[in-house]
Amino acid sequence: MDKIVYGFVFCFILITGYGQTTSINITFQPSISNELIELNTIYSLTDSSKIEITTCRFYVSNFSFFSKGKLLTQNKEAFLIDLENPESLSIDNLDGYFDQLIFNLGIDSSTNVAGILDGDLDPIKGMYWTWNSGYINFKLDGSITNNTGKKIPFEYHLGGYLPPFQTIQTISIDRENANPATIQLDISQFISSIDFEKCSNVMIPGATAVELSKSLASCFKF
Amino acid sequence: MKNRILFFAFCSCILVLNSFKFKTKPTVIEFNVPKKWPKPVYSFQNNPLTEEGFQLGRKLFYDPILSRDSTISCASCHLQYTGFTHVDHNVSHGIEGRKGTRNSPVLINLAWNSTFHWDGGVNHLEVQGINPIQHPAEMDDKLENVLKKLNASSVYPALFKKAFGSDKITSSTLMKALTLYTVSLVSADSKYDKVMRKEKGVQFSKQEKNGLKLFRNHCAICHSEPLFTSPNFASNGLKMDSLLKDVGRYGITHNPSDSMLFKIPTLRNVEFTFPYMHDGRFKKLKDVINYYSDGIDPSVSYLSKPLKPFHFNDLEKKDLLSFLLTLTDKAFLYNPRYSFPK
Repeated sequence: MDKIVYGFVFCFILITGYGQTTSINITFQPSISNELIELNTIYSLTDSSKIEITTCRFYVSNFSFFSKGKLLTQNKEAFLIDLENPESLSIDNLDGYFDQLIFNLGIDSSTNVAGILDGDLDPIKGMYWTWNSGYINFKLDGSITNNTGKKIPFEYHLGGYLPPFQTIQTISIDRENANPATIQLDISQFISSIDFEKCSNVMIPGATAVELSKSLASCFKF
Repeated sequence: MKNRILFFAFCSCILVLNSFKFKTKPTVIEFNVPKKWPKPVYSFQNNPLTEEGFQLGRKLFYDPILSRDSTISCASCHLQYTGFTHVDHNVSHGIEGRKGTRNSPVLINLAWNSTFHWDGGVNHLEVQGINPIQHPAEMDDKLENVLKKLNASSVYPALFKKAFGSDKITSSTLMKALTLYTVSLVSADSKYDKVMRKEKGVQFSKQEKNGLKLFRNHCAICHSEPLFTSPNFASNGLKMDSLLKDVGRYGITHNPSDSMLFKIPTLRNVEFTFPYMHDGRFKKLKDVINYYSDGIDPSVSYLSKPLKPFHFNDLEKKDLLSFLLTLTDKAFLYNPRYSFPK
């Protein structure tokens, strides 16, 4: 009897041990000029304007892990990364070691037409347009005070899956093997590309949403 | 020995519990597709049609708990006897008498609809219901708050458990329940249907027959049988209401060629679904026929092709009207299964 119990315990250790060696945590770190973003905090930009972020929330999905160009494993789930909820910044137990990661920034079209969904895709997460069905892939709200002292509030709600205004972005980034894997999202470049006087609100799918989504996608790095 | 008895008692407990669990499984019912109708768009794949789910959706549909101040239910603007729309109101109104900008659409044969709302902005029946719940001019609540109210209710958690296996009510189970009710609202038993099915003793009158011919020649290109609608968007040349300023489909796609296009409504039960058009500007079916006959302005740039004024004579107008009345389905409008649950 005792032998059987020990046998079970041994198997359990083996299984959990095995799980630990292959799983990986991916952490997202949104930042401005290499400073980690904290919500409702003022950051100085290089042109001496000041920026404050009040919401930073986005979807990442369809992770594919590669090693030396070979696909190791895939995870088709969608995860909501929300600066307000630090736990969400890290995705646990994705399988596999890898040197290249390909994932989507946003939600793919088949998920957008799949009806009501649970978990991170629940419409109560505030990332869903009900009157023009579809997920908001990226929400970035805040305000910028330019060097003349003028404060401009901004709201970028980027989404849309219907052609020709698909906002989903495929991101491919290389990495050296190290655990945990931390993905940097420095939005400085995105911020500096925007003319806030002209474009401070994007709340609908369209060409501007596509352009801004591309700009944000280029900010992801290991 | 004692242990053995205990062991057997334990096992039989599990057996009893399991059989109990088995018994409480919801009763799957079939969704009947009328003969010769196309395959429904709604697949039921992630939301099987069950009696418990249907009854729960029905109860929710008639329950004002879905609105912020508990004054209106879905049925306030979607009344069964009038084809599940709001008669006598050009645009619908929500809580505190707030007015919307559009005529509430009928809820008929939704299983065959691929888009919802006059501008087709909603892409799936399951997510449609979030709109009226949250719209400030309709129920003006928040989905999370409605879920809170339902979870705190003394009746709903048990009903959700019966229908979906869990008494924790989520966005998903709430919307799925509502869907199981609305998707079941099938109207396929009008005089027109009976004639098409060649039922004994049911025939079109001469007037109705002429009307059908006119209908097929002029109207059926958009209002196609047997659903009397088509999944496209079109403009019948109505000019923009200066107050409502509704640009239709363009508001969703931002494609200039979609400007002023609206969803093509089904004409089933059209006798009772007045007023007509997206802004309810026509009070009577006669007004609609007169508009298509002589009211269309052919110079309107966004008028859908090949639409032009039909110039019906008085007899033709009467024939067409008499045919449209054959689309009335009393068995649907008075079906006790769809009515307020007692």
